[in-house]
Amino acid sequence: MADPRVPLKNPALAAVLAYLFPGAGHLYQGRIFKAVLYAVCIWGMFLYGMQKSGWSALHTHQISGGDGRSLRWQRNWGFLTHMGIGTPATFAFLQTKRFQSESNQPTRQLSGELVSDFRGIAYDIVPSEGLSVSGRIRLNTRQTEYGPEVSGVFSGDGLFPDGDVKPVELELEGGFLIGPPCAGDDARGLEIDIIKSDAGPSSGSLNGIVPRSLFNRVGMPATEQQIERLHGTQGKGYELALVYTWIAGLLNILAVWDAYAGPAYGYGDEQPESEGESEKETDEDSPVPSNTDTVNP
Amino acid sequence: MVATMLPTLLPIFANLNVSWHLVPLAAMISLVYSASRVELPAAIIQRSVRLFLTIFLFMGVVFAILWVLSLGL
Repeated sequence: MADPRVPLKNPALAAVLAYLFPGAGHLYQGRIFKAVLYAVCIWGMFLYGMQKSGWSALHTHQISGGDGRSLRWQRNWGFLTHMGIGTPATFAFLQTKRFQSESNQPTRQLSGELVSDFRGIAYDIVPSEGLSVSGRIRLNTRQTEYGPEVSGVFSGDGLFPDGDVKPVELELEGGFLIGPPCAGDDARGLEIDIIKSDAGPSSGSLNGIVPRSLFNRVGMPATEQQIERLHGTQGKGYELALVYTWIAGLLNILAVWDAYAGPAYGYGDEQPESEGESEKETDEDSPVPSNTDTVNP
Repeated sequence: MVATMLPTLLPIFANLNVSWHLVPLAAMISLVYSASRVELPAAIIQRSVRLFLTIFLFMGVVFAILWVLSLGL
């Protein structure tokens, strides 16, 4: 039984709010100090862990294979702890559904204009070897006599074999292929034919990656290569990031229970039991005034 | 003295940045756990400081044991 001084209001609603958003249940109950404490500690730990893991810690499954047909799905057991916080857990479930949707496939068409950073290799610019390039790419679909065709331009810098970095401008059209919009990786593969470079007409191709937005990658199933890369680049830091997010999820279970049933040990101003007992004993030893002792004037 | 200890100490310093992350981690755990036990802010802070020190002492003892065990390696 919770201390009557703790304003639990509607405990079930408070518990649901606390589960969905750490701190919200206590805010609803008017327990401001605890609301701030839970929100800062739990969200702080979770988001710090997510950021430190390259926003990859949250995923329901890990996938391997990668040819698009024979994907092997492995459950991410760490996600069980993430289920302690409702919003990210629900988000990860929805992201898995988005990842599995039929529209999430590599495509040869663009639904709108694509303007993005790009880095990759331009083949056939320098004879016999690719030219490493990075810059901006702008692509759109235009109608040709053969149907819709993706075309556009790349402008940026290229690292030439002699070590010089020079501006590169490429005209692009046809042979377009881009990776699925949603995946755990932070980059999306792209390839397109080059029809003209600074040197003149070309029949090469541009292969590389464009960044994927946070919304299209956070909570998505992580690939085996992605996890290995994170282990390689961050080492123990990645493990630590996972621990942060796991503990945040577990701690929110305590917060949810606190919102539902109040603090486990009481209000916090109770006297220690031994002192209480000694007081009781003292009371028993002292003479109890009886009604007969009361003398009316 | 320092020169002889340096090869032993260097790996510890190399991993210090990762180990330092355990301090806020222990602090957050102490705060949230204590907040789920009592209601009064003063009692929460008091209990969490005590728990934080206990956790740190425990980790320190484990660290010391592992360090001693790894001396001969």
